[in-house]
Amino acid sequence: MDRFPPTGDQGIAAEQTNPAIRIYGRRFYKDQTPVEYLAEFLLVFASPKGDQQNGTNSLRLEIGDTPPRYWPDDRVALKLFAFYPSSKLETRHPVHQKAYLQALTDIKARVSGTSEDKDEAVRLLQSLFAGFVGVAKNRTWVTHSFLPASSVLLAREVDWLHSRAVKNANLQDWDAAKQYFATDRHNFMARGGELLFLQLAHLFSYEDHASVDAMRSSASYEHLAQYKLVKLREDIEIELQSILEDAVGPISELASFIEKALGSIRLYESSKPASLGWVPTASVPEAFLFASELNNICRSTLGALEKIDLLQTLSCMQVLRSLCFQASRVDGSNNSTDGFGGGYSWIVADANAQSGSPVRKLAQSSFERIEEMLFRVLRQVSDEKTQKFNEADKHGFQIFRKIAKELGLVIPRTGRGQRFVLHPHLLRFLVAALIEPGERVRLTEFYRRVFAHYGIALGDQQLLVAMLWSSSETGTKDYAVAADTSWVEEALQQGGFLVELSDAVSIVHNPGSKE
Amino acid sequence: MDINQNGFIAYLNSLHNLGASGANALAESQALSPYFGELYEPFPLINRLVEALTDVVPRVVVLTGHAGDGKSTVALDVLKKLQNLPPNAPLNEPLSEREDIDGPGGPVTIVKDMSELSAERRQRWLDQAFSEPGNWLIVSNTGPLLHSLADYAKQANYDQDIESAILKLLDQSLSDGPLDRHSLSVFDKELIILNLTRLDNVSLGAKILTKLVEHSAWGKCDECSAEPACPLQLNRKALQDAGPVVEERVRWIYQRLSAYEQRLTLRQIVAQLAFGLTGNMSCDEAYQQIEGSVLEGPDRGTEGLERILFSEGFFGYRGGKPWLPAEGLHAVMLVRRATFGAPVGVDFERRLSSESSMGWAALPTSLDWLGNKWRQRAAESAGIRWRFALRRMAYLFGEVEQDKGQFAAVFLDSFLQSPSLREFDNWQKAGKLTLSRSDANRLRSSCLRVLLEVFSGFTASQFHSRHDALYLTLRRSDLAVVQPTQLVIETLPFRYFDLSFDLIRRVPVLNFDRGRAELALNLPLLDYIRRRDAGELGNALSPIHQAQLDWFRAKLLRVTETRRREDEIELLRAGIDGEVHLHRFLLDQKKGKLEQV
Repeated sequence: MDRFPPTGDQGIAAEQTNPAIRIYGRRFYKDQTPVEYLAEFLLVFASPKGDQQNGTNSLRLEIGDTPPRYWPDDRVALKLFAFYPSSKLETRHPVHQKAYLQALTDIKARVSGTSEDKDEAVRLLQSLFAGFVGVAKNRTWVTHSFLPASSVLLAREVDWLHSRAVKNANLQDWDAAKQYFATDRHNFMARGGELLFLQLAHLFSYEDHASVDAMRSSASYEHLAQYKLVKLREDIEIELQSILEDAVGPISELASFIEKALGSIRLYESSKPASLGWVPTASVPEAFLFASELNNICRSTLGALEKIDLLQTLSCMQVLRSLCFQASRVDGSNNSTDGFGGGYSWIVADANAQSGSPVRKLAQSSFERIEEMLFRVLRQVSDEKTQKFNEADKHGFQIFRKIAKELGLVIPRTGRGQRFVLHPHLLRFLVAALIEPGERVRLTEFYRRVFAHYGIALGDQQLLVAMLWSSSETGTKDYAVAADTSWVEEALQQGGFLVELSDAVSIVHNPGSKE
Repeated sequence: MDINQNGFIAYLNSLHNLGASGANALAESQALSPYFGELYEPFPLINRLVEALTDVVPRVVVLTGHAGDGKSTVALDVLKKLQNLPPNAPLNEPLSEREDIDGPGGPVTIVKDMSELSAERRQRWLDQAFSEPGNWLIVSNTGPLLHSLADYAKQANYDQDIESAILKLLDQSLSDGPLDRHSLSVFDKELIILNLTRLDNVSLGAKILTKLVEHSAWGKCDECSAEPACPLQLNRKALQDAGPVVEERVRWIYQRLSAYEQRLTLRQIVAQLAFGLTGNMSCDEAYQQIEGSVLEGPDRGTEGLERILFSEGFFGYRGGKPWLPAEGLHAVMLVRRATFGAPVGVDFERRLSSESSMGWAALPTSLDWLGNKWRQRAAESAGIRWRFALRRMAYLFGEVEQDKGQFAAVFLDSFLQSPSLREFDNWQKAGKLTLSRSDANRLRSSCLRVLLEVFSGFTASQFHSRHDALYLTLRRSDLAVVQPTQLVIETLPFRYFDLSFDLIRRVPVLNFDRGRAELALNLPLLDYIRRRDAGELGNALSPIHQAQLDWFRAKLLRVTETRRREDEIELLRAGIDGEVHLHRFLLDQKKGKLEQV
């Protein structure tokens, strides 16, 4: 399988990686949270890249002889200041405590007023930044992440090796403790966001791809016909940069104020590079869809934090889509779905559909079919009887279920009867991603695009195609289906996106235009 | 004198489709009906439309909308105007597929229903419409219209993607203002698309009630021996006695339905009104009711009246009980969904079974007998449904007694389940905000205080009571984490906002800085604001209005973008006592200093 960049896996023999990596690229990892997919993607985008350390805020990647690298910040000082007070007690090392107290003193020294004023100011700042926490869970402060709303809130993963550090009884100061901070673990920023970045970097590394051309000229992707790759890349770069730099303006100023004040709390003298993995070059079609959706969301006039919210959903949906596209490619057999290039489909049901109702059963079996496919392809690429399936299943098969449930695309979270559903937030996301800001399309056109981008079957025609795909194993081809989409219409109407006109013509409107 | 069959009653019963004779409801047959002319209430946009069609600049006007919105009726009226026919007289023969008229400004062609034509003929006529001289009026359903125009654009090599533009026109609200807002100049002639679905037909619909009640055809009943006791006549008489009160009350119900449930088409409204008038009773049945009665004089009809009283039929009830067949009428089904007539308050309930006025309402004397009977039943333990019926009666027929205005207001607002509806209706009628300066100020503050809550997540009571600025803060949209401290991006003093009335959308509007950003305050949003301001907590904002507020916020941020300074930091924080305080800092990035201001 061809890879981009070709040097992305240098030094690691192919047979040493598990089948999931061999299929999907390096790599998806089950424990990465939705915020961290976006945070990592934006981190690579915003950081300097390549040996020259240029290419900030860029979706391009120079390919050399060595594995490509980028130079991310770690923001340890800011994290210490914001997250230490709420960090897990057991993993607070005395050295951290000391550094934290020092940090407070340093900040207070730069605030005017009486000592109460200073205390108050510090509390305010801490509480402000703590409000932008992305993931805290049960982790120690340095592994928390910020909501990626600004470039100053983007940070690479740093782990604190606590059990090792406590064994060192002589550990007294920050400098000595630096060796117990690790940047190479990829437990949380587990390369999933890098992979999304690499998909785009590959897409934009040429002015055109045959597969993109084919999509643009096909009827199913008529709405993407006007996109030129160079222009698309430039537009996305500008918009992403403006979200990261301008949107939360004063927050960035405050963050750099804090970082300046805490200049002594650093892990490395100069920034330390991180290596990138690789993606299969076949991922161009899904990358193109991803790029077009990214462009729509970024161009909308929504508030910056709302955009971040939608981008987070987009990143997760792209992970799910990438898994399915690639699995269907590897699977090979029976992968034609008319109106959708992915060769698979998701049938969604109304979340409130009664158990036992036909559409709920369809959604359930559709989910089973997808899981079967993901499970099967892992075994197709690996001919030897190795023990690697344990890892591969986690990160190439169970991951789908995990992310889909986190998104709310699959319910229930536990128990039987798992099925695809679409809740209002996801519908809102689909409107923002698939309809250009300000554009009005007919409801049927919206359904067509939802199918063309995600294989989600909503309309009659799409449902028929989806059912053919789902049932191809049993060979049944005769169905009379009528999709009941009143719940979709109701949800869209509730969100203010749908205008009902006469005789069953409805308009879906993405209101985010600049007019 | 003999029993007389009044054709008008049969006509009314054919307007609602409960019986088998619903055929009259269609505009085609209305055009030929002798009763229709007097009922017809001209659409406010007719004159503009005729002007546009007789202008020397050639145009193609497309009229679209739901079945029953009045497309064909409008076309018919235009035809009569152009041919100088009397507006109230019926046509001698039905409209043909296509009418070619010599108008004062040149030839005018009216296509009755494009949806009925074959695809090939649609294209040919569209081609003619755009290429040959003369004005065209084309009536069409929306689906076929979109297809035909898109096909035509493709065929005639207009390479623009016109669908989004047409959809935008279809989404445009329709008023009696100039038609330029509905025009599209892509083709060789100006194309005007009017979507009757977007016309506010509430007051038009309510006016029809008065026309039905005052129709001259009732005169035919004078010759009938049953007339003084006829239930149908008694029902009409009650409506006549109550006069303009009923029309207003009916209009409020339609306001409420179109704001909260669904917009009704005129045909649906007429059906409900006609049903309310006759209760599906024919002249023969009315006579049987009188014959079967043991009472004397005009009272002989009251038992029949009880079955069909307007305040019952209109809401889909019969004798206090839901009358299931009536739910076949779409409008009745919607009214039933809202369950009008629930208890209002202890004070009213106490008076309900003892006073006919409930403390505020003067009812027509023609309803005395029935009212007394129902009050007796309402006092019984199983009389709940009669209490509902009495409230409905008071709502529809009750004229407000002198000096009881406030009492009545409480009843009416509660009956309508909307604190702002009557005021809203007043504004729509007047075409402006009829508020005193101080009331307008108060309403503006209520709106802004609710916005302050929604935007910041702090409740308005957490702010100082004389607080008068709107904060736009950096608030996460996922709401995954509580943000007790929020960064203020923008502070907008209340005085930068003002209220006005948008004549096209017919809603009050909250303007920022003379219209640089505006928020349409439609009825549910206004109700939410009023309730919230009165301290009610139970009502959540529906997603559609939440979305509307989000867009308003985004717009405010965008239009104020240029003024922001990055070195001024303002933070909102709720203290231990819950009160929200504003903290100001100046950030000197060069010196690395943070100063409290």
